[in-house]
Formats: sequence, structure tokens, C-alpha cells
Amino acid sequence: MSKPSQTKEDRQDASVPPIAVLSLPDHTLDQLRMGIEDNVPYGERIEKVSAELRLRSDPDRVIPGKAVEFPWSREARARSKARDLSIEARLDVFKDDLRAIRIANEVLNRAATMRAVEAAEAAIFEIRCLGETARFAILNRTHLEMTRQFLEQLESIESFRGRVSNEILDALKERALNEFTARMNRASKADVEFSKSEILRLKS
Amino acid sequence: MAELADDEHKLHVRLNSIALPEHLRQSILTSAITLVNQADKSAAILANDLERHALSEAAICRDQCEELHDIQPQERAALARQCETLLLDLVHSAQPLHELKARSIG
Repeated sequence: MSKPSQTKEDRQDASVPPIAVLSLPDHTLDQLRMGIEDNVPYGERIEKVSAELRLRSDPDRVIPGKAVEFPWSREARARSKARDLSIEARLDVFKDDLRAIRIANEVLNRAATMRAVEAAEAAIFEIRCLGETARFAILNRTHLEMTRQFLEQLESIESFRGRVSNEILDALKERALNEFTARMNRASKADVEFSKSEILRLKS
Repeated sequence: MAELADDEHKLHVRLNSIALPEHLRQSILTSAITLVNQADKSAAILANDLERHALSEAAICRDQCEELHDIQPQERAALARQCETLLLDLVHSAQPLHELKARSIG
């Protein structure tokens, strides 16, 4: 059972003289490959190529049908062979189309996966950046506060100058500096050494 | 404080072994650093307060030693230093002052 469109097409093909069929543009494929006729929509170009393929694989191109034909005649046998070859060729084209569709689908799937991975990586990077920024702000505040505490501690120690022996006060200041250094290093996960003489000279 | 730093490191290791959304991981890390820094700051404030109190008590003790007229001035000064050291070592038991002084002299 044939489709209505095919029937119509066959009727059209039968009504058109063979010469006119053969004179249809054979360069449609080339045009499609070279991208000529940019003003023609892509779907229309595909349709033209499909029509061209159908025409070129039509066995009537080799041996046009006659009103009366004996099945054992040479033409009839050649026509039968041409029909078989045409079916085979159309099947091959169909297989190629399916393979191309499968490859295109795979490529699209991979592209979609890559885009999803890229988007996820960008999102994770952004989240990490935000986290690091927040932690750096906390660390910065902590450093400022620790520095303020250290200065207050030095002032507090100095305020006892004259009431407590100088050796004790100097030892306490050195201890305060060591603790401050250790605390700052621990907070910033660093290993920085401050110049003790320079810092202690400020207050003594 | 060293124990706190160790615990923080352990938290990082344990957190890396858990599968969880990235924003939640970052949030936990931020909370951890906030807690550790808060603990560090609080410890520093407490240590400063204690040291200030100890210095105040040491000053009072020194004044009391100065009032001991029965002993020689050198003995009074030595006694006052001993009392100061004892009081300040009490609040800095982790690193006594006499060790610090000896190290700084050395």
C-alpha cells in the first residue's frame, strides 16, 4: 500500500516527459554543500536535495516504462534489475541518513553534557570564591581586632611601669608579642615572624 | 589553642570525605573559621584581663613588701620580685615568666 503523496508524485512523474525529468538541476547537492543560495531556507534546500536523490535513483531514468511490455523481454528484465538496484541504493541512503542522525544526536548529547559540566564548574567556582571572600573578611576583621588587643595589652603593661619591676614588665611585653605572633599566624595559617625590637621600641 | 587548630584541621579532613553540596561545604568552612577565630579572640581577651588583674595584684603585693621595714631594701626588692613572679606565673602557667626571662637573658 503506497502513501498518497507517493502516488501523487508517481502520477506527476508519469505525466512529465523523461527528458524534462532528466533536465532537473543535478547540481542541487553541490549547492547545498557550497552554501549557495543563502536566501533559500535550509529546509527547502534539504527538500530539493531529497527530491533530486529520489529522481536520480528512479529506475525509469534507465529504462522508461512502456504501455505494453513482455515480462521476458530484455527491457523488462533490465527494468526489474534497475528497480532492485534502486531499492538497494535507497536503502543504503536511508542507512547513511540514520547513521548521520545517530552521530548528530551523539554530538549534540556530548555538547549538552559539556555545557552542563561547564555551567556546574562555573557555579562551583563562584560559590568557592564567595566562600573565600567571606572567610577572608572574617580573617581580616580578626586580624584587626587582635592587633587592637595587642596594642591595648602593651598599653596596659606600660601603665604598671613604676608599680611593678621593669624586668617583669619587659618579660610580659615579650610574651605578649610572642603570643600575638602565634595567634596571627594561626589565624591566617601562615608563618610570619615580626621584628620584636622594632615593635617593642614603640612603647619602651 | 593548639588543640583547637588540630580540631579545625580534623574538621577539614572530615568535611572533604563527606559528599554534600558545595554551598553547604563553604558555609560549614566559614562557620568553622568564625568559631575558631572567635575562640582565639575570646581566649586573648581573657588572657589580657587575667594579666591585668595579676599585674594589679602584683603591684599591691609589691606595695606590701615595701612596707616591710624590718628587712633590708635588697631583700625587700627580691621578695617583691618573687611575689610578682609567682602571681604572674599563675595566670601564665603554660609558659612561666621565669623561663621566659631566662630565655631572653640567654
